[in-house]
Amino acid sequence: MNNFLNKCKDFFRPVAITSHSILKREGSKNLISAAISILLGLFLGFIVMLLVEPSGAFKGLGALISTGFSNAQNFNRVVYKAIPMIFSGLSIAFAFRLNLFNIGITGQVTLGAFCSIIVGLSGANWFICLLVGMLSGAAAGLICGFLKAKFGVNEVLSGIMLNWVIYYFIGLCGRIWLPNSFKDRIETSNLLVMPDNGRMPSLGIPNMGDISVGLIIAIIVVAVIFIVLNYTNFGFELKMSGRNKDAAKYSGVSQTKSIILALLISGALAGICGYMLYSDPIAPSKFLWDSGSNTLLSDGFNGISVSLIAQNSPIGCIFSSIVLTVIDSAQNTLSTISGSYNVHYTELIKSVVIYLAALSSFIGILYRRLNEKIDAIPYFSRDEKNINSKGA
Amino acid sequence: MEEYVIELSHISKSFPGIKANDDISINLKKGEIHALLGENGAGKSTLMSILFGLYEPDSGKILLNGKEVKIKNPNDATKYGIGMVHQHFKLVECYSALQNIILGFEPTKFGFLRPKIVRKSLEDLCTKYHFDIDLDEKIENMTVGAQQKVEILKMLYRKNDILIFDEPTAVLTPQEIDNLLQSMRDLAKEGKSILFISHKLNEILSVSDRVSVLQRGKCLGTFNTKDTDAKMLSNLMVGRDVELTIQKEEPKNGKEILLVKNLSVFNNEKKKETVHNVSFNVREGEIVCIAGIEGNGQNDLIYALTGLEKVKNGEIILRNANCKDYINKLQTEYKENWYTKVKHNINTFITYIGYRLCGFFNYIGFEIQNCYQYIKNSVINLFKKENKIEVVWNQWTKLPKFNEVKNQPLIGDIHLEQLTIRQRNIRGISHIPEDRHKHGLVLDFNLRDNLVLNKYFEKKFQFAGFIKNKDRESYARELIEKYDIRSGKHEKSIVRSMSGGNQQKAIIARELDKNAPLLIAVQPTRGLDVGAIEAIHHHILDSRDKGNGVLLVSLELEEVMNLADRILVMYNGDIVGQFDPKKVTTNELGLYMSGAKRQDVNAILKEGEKVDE
Repeated sequence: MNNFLNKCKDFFRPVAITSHSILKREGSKNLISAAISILLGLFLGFIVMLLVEPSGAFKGLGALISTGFSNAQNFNRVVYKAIPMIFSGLSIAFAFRLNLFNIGITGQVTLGAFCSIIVGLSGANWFICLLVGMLSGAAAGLICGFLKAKFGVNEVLSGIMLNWVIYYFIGLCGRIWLPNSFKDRIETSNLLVMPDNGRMPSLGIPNMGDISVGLIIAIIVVAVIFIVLNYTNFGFELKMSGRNKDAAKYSGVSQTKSIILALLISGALAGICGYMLYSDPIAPSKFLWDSGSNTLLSDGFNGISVSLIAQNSPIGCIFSSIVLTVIDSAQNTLSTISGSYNVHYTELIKSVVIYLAALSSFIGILYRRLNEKIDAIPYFSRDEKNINSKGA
Repeated sequence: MEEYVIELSHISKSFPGIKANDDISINLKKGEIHALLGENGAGKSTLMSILFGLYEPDSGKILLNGKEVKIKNPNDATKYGIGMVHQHFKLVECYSALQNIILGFEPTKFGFLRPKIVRKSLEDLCTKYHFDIDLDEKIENMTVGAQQKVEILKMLYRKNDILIFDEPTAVLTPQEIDNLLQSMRDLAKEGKSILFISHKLNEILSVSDRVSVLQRGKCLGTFNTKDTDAKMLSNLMVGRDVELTIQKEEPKNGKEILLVKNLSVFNNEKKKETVHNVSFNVREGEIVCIAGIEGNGQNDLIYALTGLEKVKNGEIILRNANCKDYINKLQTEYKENWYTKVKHNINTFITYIGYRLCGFFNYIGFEIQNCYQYIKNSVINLFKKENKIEVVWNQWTKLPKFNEVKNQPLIGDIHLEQLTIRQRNIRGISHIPEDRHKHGLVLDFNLRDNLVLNKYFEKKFQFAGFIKNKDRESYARELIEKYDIRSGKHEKSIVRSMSGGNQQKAIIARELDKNAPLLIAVQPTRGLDVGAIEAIHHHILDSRDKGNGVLLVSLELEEVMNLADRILVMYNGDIVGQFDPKKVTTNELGLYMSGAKRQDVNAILKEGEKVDE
């Protein structure tokens, strides 16, 4: 029996070693801590459901996970809501490579959306609108970057201030310069929705008309950014400047250039997010330039949570934004299960997940310790001699 | 049986991966100076931290006057009369000496602070031990030696009987060292017991009564100092024969490589000019050493040469035309084609615009400043009858002209002042920085990436902006082999997990492998043990023998005397002396370092130039 066990051990050893070495990587550490934070968030949500209405708790948990994928319409909703979030998450994640917190993202999103809709209303096609959105976002990012690089102004401060500057500037534009043909006839504080020529073309999947070219663009951009960050000199420079500013300066990387470029690209991504928020192929939402309630668009800030859950990894942004929209989409189903599961409920779960994601560095530390312990076990070491000597 | 003040018996302490202290037993008699000797990483500092309550031992006991005590934190240590002078002083810079001394044990009357109560007794202590310090002077205005005296006074004020000195002489001039050793003898005579940590053998031999040698966490034994000598101690410490003085050939002085003319540097953090009008040169195949006490402008001088700090005034000229090997490399690396030409022109244009913009803002700022000075001086002149202040419109803020901004050539006589760090590096400067964690390495990167930290853009390591990881790896393996860098996972090991000596070796490998005509090394052996120091010294000498110029900055006089072919002494931002190491003693150097003496260096340098021509 013992002999058989030993043989089994020997047989599985290569598998164990390989899986251990894969799990030891930085990427899998991030993946696992993100997964743990999501599962814990769901679990806490489940407990809250038990407390509020015990009878529907299991059903509710099931709905929470499965609603997003239950039928084509729901899945459609999940994907089209996730696309702009991917871009906003990418924007935050990219700036974070340089330890820059691009909180000016909201302003960049707003500016991108406004400019692209205006261009769309003037008759440009969707690609031009996309470009205009991107460039206007980039311009807003450039201002923060320039101030940071040349005068050492904190990007968080200048970003927040710029958000409000852009917000009121758009209000001003709308009131004074915008021709009436661009405005909604009834509610004059609304822009008209993006006309057909400026909307993203639908991919034409039956029952999922909202899934547009945006998805493909998102995947391409994620891939490009992943490659740029990991396999090019520019990515190496950014990484170096982020990890150790002084060493980067010493080795001749221009800090001015890195900071400006990082915030510029981050702003461009935010601008794309802005365009995509308001150019859905079937029913685009309306852009309010003078809501009177003095609140900024929350769509930019969503990017912060997306990037937090994704641990600043570009590829992770795709999945984390889908997770957030899946939780969001369960709202209606939940309220049919029990009246006490109201809007605050899905928001609560989302915020718990985000909160735990912020703590995930702690999970990461625990995970590293576990890996160190496993490292010490001779069974998992590649060195043949090691296991023999210790076995004997 | 003899009475011991302190007994450390069978102390063990391990950190993840290493056993810092392994069953160490040491005892201290009343009124003796007990020296602790050992390489870096031998466990001296850990042992003292245990005694001072910063760490708790895994096993073992501490006996105080025969009774077992538990020291859990530094406050306990002070309670038992144990005081420590740390290598880096723990003083509040903006407080006066008196305030620093009473900090933590403030004399009070009705709850109010009354420093006057202890002032008299402190003054008595000063006269008793011949401490020549002003109690009201602020720490930031004091010399390092005086600061150390404040630390010692602090311990005496707290009535500590057991004094620990952690490498106290590392930052002092020879004269200050003599004073310190004399004070230590006086203190011991008064009945204080002293633990003295050092790896300088001559100090230990001259001052201590007994000496304990540590090696890799183990105590090799305690000896009466009378029975030992330098050779025996060094052999014990390292475990093999070490060359205490390095053998080197005569320098073959060639042509000038680096020429610095009237260089001034303004430090933006300290808001003052830290280097004034410095001129010197470095020739091929010689090691020029800049000696001086820390904080006398050496760092800013080096930063100005390498581009980390801006030059206020003066010229830096690099002449790399004679270094054939390096030029060949440059020519193949940066062959001109249409792409590089276009890139060069665009770069030049952008830099020019940038300079004009910055220059414009600077110009406005300085003009306002000048205006203010001009008006102020004119007003003063109105009321002053004699010794009129010369009123001049300051002219040093002129805007850069286009040809000054234009990129300097790759080969020939290159003016470095306006170039970026990258441009300087390419043209032939390699720089071993002082702070390896701040400037030299990215600790979270692996060894492979750190070894190409400032050459990742070379053709060898990239193709059209994409990283060639395989070439980086093979290059890293080559360097690891050549420079004997030891680490757990070779080129894949994260640098943070490597030992200090191997981190430094990685930097040295990276910089020396460039084979640049000018090597600037700032304290390349700081905090390393004798074995590693020996290896690094050999590498630097090799570089010199290849015909490169070496500019070495060091605080350790021993290193200066060992390596240098020419010594420049810096004091307060000036070069105050130039010496031949064979014709000068450390004491003489110490006088110049502390500012007691100075030569007219400019005259000497001018003579040297004439000879060259």
